[in-house]
Amino acid sequence: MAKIGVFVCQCGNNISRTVDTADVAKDASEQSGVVFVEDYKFMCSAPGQEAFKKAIRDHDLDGCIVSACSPKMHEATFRNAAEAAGLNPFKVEIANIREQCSWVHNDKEIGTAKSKDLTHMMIQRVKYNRPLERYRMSMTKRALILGGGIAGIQAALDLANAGTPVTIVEKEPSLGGNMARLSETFPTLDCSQCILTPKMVEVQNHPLITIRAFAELEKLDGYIGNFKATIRQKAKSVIDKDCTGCGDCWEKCPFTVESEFDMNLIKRKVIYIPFPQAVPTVPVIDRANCPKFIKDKCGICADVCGPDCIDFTQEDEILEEEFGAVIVATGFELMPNVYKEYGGSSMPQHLIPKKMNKKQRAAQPRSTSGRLPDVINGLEFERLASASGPTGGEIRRPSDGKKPKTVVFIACVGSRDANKGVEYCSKICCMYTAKHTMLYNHSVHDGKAYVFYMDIRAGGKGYEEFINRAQDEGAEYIRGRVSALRKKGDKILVKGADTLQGCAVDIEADMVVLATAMVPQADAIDFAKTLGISYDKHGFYSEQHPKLMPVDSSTGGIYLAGACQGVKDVPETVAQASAAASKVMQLFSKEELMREPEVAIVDKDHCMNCWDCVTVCPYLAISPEEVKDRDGNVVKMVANVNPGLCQGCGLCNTVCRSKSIELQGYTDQQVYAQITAFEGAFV
Amino acid sequence: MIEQIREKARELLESGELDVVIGYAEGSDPSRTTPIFCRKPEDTDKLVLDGRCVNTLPAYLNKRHEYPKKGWKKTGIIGKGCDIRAITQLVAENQLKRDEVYIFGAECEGVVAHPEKWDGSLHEGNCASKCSSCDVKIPLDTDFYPGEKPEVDRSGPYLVTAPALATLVKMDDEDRFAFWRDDFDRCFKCYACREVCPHCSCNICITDRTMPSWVDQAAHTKGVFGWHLTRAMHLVGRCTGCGECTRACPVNIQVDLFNQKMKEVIQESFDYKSGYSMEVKPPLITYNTDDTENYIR
Repeated sequence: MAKIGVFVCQCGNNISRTVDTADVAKDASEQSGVVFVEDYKFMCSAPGQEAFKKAIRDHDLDGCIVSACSPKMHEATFRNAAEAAGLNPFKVEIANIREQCSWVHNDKEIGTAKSKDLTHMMIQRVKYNRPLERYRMSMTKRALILGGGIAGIQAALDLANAGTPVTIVEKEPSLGGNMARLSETFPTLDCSQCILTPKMVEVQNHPLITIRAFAELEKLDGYIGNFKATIRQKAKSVIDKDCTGCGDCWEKCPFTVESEFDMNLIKRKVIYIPFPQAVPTVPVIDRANCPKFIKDKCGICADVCGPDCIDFTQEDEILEEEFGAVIVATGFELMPNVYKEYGGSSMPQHLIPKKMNKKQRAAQPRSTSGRLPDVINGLEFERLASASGPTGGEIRRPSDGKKPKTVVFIACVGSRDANKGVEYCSKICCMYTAKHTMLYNHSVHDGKAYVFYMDIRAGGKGYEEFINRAQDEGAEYIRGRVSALRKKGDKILVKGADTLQGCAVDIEADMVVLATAMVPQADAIDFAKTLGISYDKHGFYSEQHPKLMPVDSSTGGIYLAGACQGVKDVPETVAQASAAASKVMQLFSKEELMREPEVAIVDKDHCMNCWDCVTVCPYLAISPEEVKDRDGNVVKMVANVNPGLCQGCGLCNTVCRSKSIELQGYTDQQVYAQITAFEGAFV
Repeated sequence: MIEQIREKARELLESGELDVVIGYAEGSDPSRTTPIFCRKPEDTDKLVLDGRCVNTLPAYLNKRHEYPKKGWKKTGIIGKGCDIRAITQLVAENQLKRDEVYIFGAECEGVVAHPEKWDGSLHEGNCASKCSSCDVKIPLDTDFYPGEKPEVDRSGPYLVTAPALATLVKMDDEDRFAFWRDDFDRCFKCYACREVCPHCSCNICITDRTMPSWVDQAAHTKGVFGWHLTRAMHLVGRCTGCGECTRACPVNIQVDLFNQKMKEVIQESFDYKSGYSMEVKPPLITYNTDDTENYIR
C-alpha cells in the first residue's frame, strides 16, 4: 500500500484567493494511499520545507505531491528536500494549481474543483513513480571557443586565467573580428585597436590557449561535458611553427586584391596578414587569387622567405578534438544590399555591366548605374577614420580622395522596418553615428555633419551625454527619414524630411554614411544546425531563457557570447563573454557531470528495430545496438539510448508503434494513471 | 510467363541458392488460389499466377511471423507489383534485408476484388479497385522478370480508388460517424486485418498491451474505434495499398478506406508515396526546416 503525502500550498493568497486549499487537502486525504495531508501558507518557505521533510520521516512516506506553483519554480526545491529526508527525489511530483489553476480562474468553486482534479491525477501518477538515480559521467575539461572577436578573446582569457585549457577557432587569418576594424569606441573615444590588440597578444602568449586561426568547425558531435569537434584547418600555405612574421613575403608579393579587412577600400597582397597587429602574425596565401595556384607562375614569396616556410603543397588538415563545453562567439555582419534603397545597387561599380539590356536597366535604381561611390556604410567609415586605415585616419571620400565638407549620416538603415529590412532596432547605430560625427568633426574642422534619425536610443552608462556632446560639437540632428539619394555633379543630393519642422530638406552632401543594421553572419543558420542550437527568425542564436539564462543556448554545454545572440555593443559583448566563461567554469568546477535520469529507455525484448526513433531523434542520442547470445552471435538489433545525449524530449516515445521506448519519469503507466484519474477522461 | 518463373524457381531451388520459394498454387476450389511454400524443386510445378492470386505474400517475410525464423537464408518470392512495393517498404523499415529475398516479378493484369467474384476471367466487373490506378503492373524491383522489362513512368501522384471514399468525405461529421459506427458494429476484433498486413511488424501490438491498456480490448464501440483508428494511424506513410485488410475482413468492413485517405493526405502534404524507395525516409519521422506546417490549424 502506498504511503503518500499531499502538501497543499496557499502561496500567500496567490492560490488561496481562488482555491479553497483546506478543501483540496481534505479531499486528498480521502484518496486511497494518502496517509498525510498538509495545508500551508508557503510550502517553499524554510518552515514549509521543514514540515515537508518531517512528514516524510515521521510517516515514512514513499511518494509526495506538492500542490503548488509550476514545477519550473519549485520542483527542484522539493526534490532536494525529499532527498535530504531520505526519499528518492523522483518520488516527488508537483500538481500545478497556481499557474494552471488559481491564476487563470476567478470562480473559487471551479478553481477548487480543478485543483482537486489536478491533485488526484498526481496522486495516481506518483504510485507508478519509480526511484531513479541521476547519471554520473566524466567530462573533458577543455573549452572550445568559436570566433576570435572580442567576445571569443574575452571568454578565452577569462577561462584560461581560471586554469581551463581553451582552443579558439577563427575563420579569418587573425583574431580581432569586427572590433579590430573600428577606429575609436563610444562613449569614451578610446582607440579600438589600442584596447583590443593587448588582449590579442595576451591570448597569443597564454600557455593554456591554442589559437586555430584560418580554421572552421566542420562538425560537432557529443553532448555536454563530452563534445567531439571536427575542425578544418584551412591550408595557409605557410608553415606556422617556422614563420617569424618578418613580413618579407607580403612586402615582395607583386599581386594585390581588395582587402576584406579594410572593407574593400584598399588593396592587400595575395599573401597577407589582414592588419599589422594580426595575431597570429602568420600570413596566409589567398589561393583563389594567387598566380602560383592559378597558373603556376611567380613563387616570389617562397624565394624571399628566410626560414623557408612557404609550402605551396600544404593541404587542409582535419583535426578531431574533444571538449567539455563550447562558447559560440561568431559575431555579426552589416546588412548587405542596403545600397539599393539608398541610391545604388549593392554591386561594386566595376562589376556593373556598362551596356545593359532593358530588363537590367529597369532593375537598377533610378538615379545611377551603380552604387554611388561616396555612399558608404558604418564599417567603411570606421576604416576611413582609423589611423591604420586606408587614408591613415584622415577622412577622405572614396571616389576622389577629397575631404568631404558636408557629410550626411542616415540612421536606422535597414532596421526598424520589416518591409525594407529587419524589424528590430540595431541598437548600436545611434551611438556609433554620434561617434562618427565627432570623428568627422575632429578630422575636418570646417565640415558639417547632418544626422537623419528616427529616435535617439542612448540607454547606457554615459551614452546620453555622448549624444549631447556630439550635438555640442556641431552635428546637426534632423528628425526624419531620407527618401532618396541622387547624384548631382560630384555631390550627392540627399532628399529628406524634417518631421519636427514639417518640411522637406534637401542637402547636397559630399559623402553619405549609412548606419546599417547589424545582422547575424550570412551562414549563421547553417552553423546553428551544425551545432544543434536554436535560433530566431533573423538567425540570431536563441538563449535558453530571455531573462534568467541569457548566455545558455538551447543545448546543454553550448554557451553564447556577443553579437551572434543579438545586437550588442562592445561593453555588453565583453560582459556576456565573461558570463559565458563563468558558466563554463561552473560546469568544470565539478568532478563529474550529473545528468537528470529523465531520459528514454528501450524495452529491448520488444524493440522491433524499425529505427524510427533513431531517425526522429533530434539529438542523435539513439543508435542501433547488437544483442548477442552467449556465444557472441548477433541475435537481433535493438535501439540504444545514450543518456548523456538524450534531452528527454519524448519524440521517440511518440513514433514507437510497439511502445518499446519510454521516458523514465514519464512512463506510459504514469501518464495513463494520471489521465484516467481525471473524472472527465474518456477512458 | 509462369512457365519461365517455374523453370527459374526450380533451377534456383535445385542449385540450393534459394531455400524456399513462396508463391501461389491452385486452391480448394477453382475460384481460389492458396499460398504455397515450395521447398522441393518439383513443388514449383504447382505454381500459378493469374487474376485469382490476391494474397499479399510479403506478409510472410515480416519478422513478426515465424517463417523468416526457420533459418532460411534466402527466400524466393513471387510478387505482383503491389507486393513488391510492400517488400520495398519492409526493406526501408529495416524489417528485411534486400539480399535475403529473391524476387520473381511478372506483369500483372490486375486481381479479382474477392475470390467469390471470380467467374473464370478478370473483367471490369470483378477487378479490384486498387488495380484501376496501378502504376506497378510492370513491377519496380525484381531479380527475375520473364522477358524484357519496359520502362514505366511512376512519377504520378497516389490516387484514391475506393468509390466509397468519395461519398464518405462528402458526408458531414455526424453521418460519417454513423457510417463507421454501423460498420464497426460488426467488428468482433478477430484482427484478421492485422494478420494479413505486411507492415504490422510489432512483436507486441499496442492493442495487446495491458500495462497500460491504451486501446480497449473489448469489441464494443470504443474498443473497436480505438483499434481501427490506431491501426490507421500506425500505417500512415507506410501502407503500400495492397487492400488485403479489407479483403480479409470476415464481416466486410472496408478498413482500407482509412489507409487510402491517409495515403492521399501524405501525398498532398509531403509528396510521398510509400513503397517506391528503400532510401527515402517516411515523412512522419523526418523533419525539414522548410516543411509546411499547414496541418496546424
